[in-house]
Amino acid sequence: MSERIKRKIKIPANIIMLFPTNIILLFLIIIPTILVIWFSLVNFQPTFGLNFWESKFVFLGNYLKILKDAEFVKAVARTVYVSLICLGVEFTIGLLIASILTGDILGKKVLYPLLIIPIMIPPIVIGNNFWLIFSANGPVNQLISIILNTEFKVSWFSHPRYAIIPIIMSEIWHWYPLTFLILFSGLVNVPTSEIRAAQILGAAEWQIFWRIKFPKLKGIIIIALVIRMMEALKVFDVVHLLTHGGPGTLTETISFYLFKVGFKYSRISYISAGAWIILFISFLGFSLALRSVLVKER
Amino acid sequence: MPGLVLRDISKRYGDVQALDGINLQIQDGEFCVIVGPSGSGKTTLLNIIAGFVKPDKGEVMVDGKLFNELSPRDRNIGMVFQDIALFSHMTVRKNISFGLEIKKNKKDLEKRVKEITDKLQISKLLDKKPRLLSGGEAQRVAIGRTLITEPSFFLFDEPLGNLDANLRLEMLTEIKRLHLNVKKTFIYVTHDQEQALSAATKVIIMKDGKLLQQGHPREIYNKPMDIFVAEFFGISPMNLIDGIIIPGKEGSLFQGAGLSVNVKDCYHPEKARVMLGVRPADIIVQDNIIEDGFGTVSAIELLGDRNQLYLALEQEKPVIAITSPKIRPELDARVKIKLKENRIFLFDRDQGRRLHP
Repeated sequence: MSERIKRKIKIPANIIMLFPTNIILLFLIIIPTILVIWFSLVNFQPTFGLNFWESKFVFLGNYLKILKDAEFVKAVARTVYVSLICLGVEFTIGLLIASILTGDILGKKVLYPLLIIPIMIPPIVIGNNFWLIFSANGPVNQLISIILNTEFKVSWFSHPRYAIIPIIMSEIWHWYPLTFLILFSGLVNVPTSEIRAAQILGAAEWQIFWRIKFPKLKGIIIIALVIRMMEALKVFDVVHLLTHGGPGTLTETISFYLFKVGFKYSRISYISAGAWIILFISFLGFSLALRSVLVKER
Repeated sequence: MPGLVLRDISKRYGDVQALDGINLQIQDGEFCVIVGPSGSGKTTLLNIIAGFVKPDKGEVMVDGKLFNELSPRDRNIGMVFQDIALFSHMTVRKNISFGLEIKKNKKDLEKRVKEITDKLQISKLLDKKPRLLSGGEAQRVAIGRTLITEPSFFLFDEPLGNLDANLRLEMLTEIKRLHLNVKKTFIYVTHDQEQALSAATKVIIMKDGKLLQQGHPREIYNKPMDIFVAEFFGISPMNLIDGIIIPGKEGSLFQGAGLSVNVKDCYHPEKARVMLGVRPADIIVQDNIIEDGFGTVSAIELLGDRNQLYLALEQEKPVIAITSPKIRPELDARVKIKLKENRIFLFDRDQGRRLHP
């Protein structure tokens, strides 16, 4: 009898071992996620003095409201637009450097680690550096002055048009090593014999690139773009450090907008709905992009 | 000078002398097979001809034109690679037409592709991707891909290494037929003896970056330059017996490993230590003969159409004899051995040079 009970309580080792991780996951991800779903469906603001379980249930009210909010829509559009510029430039730079480094060039071993330094620098350092570079008396203004041969002084961070430029530049500088590394690993994996076969059939370098290397890199390019896009959509730190979303709201990105409205104006329910909308759109976009890579040909 | 001429080609990789002063002339339309153990520099030589590797020294001339500074794409060469190297993201059709498409020469494209695929019997595969092809089919496509640009000569870098034995023979026949068909120079690198012997009009034997011997396969088979060539060339390696040669009135007498063999027409000036070489098929094992000596049967391989006997002599290495399937001695039996008189080779023991015939 007692033996039977013992056997009943016995828990398999794998469950015991997974238990701590699952507890952490529960508190870090699962409970907050459920809470955010709940927040987005009620009208909860800490400043109202009501607890979130006492707040009024408004169902999709928050979603409808934030979709009509011009500031939110603009922040989304701006983020997408900044991301696409960054992606385009980073991709070009990455591909260029990767192609150069796959060839036989002098000092490859030194260049390689030097070129991936930016990705290892914390965003706050990059933000501060670019703040210095683009400050009113900084090197950028001076350089342009020398080129134009007149005194050139633009206050980059408060200019309604140009304020976005330092943000884009710092993002590009910070993240080009990622695309470079991914594309480089793709390029070195193109079989030498296929390249040689193309050469001996009479293909020039650029033909080999477009007809052999590029098609083989297609999958890896999409993966690189998706990874980078995910990162770009989250851009927050440089905006916070350089322009603080200004002048006005002209350089506000999604994360910055959500942070501002949520934690400064304490409209928690409102931004919860916003966050879910962003997640839904990204999920849709990325799944479509990755479909061609992950779904194998039959 | 017509054909391909290599003059004093040398190439070094770090401490390794990959090629050391190679001089070579290959006539137009020859089927030239380069053989040698791995690391002998065969593939390096091929890559220098193709232009992928620049020689440190020496000249590559084709039809009297210097090729050294020409990039591979301007050399008008066809090459089939060891790993076949079909463009894996393209269909067979695209693979074959690649050579013309990049030259913007689309005029006869359809017709040419059809011609080639008909010739190689791969018309049914045109819309498949390379990974769906079998080894033999992929090989045919690789050959078809080189044919389309009508190159002036063809390089094959161990193309059949990845195929199984039957298929290899079949593809080799195909390549031989192709050679008769296109009447261009073929240079074919392999370490497979059978391939070399059956296809070549010229064989080049390489070792340690040096060219050891070149000539018609029959010539090399009958007159190997030294012990290495004798042991390396031929489907079954030559047996070597250590001993001494004693000059006599009618030829000389070889004594070693318990054998004493009369070597006709060999007039060695003095008594000397030599290596006697004899091919497995030239050892007679019979009861009713005047024997040269005795051997103990240490193993028998019954191969159906022939038997292969391992005979222990008074030396470390046994000799191998190939006999008719009727001769089937017991294991450990002592058998009479005779070497065919006119099929005996003698080599210098130290330098390995051939002394006789």
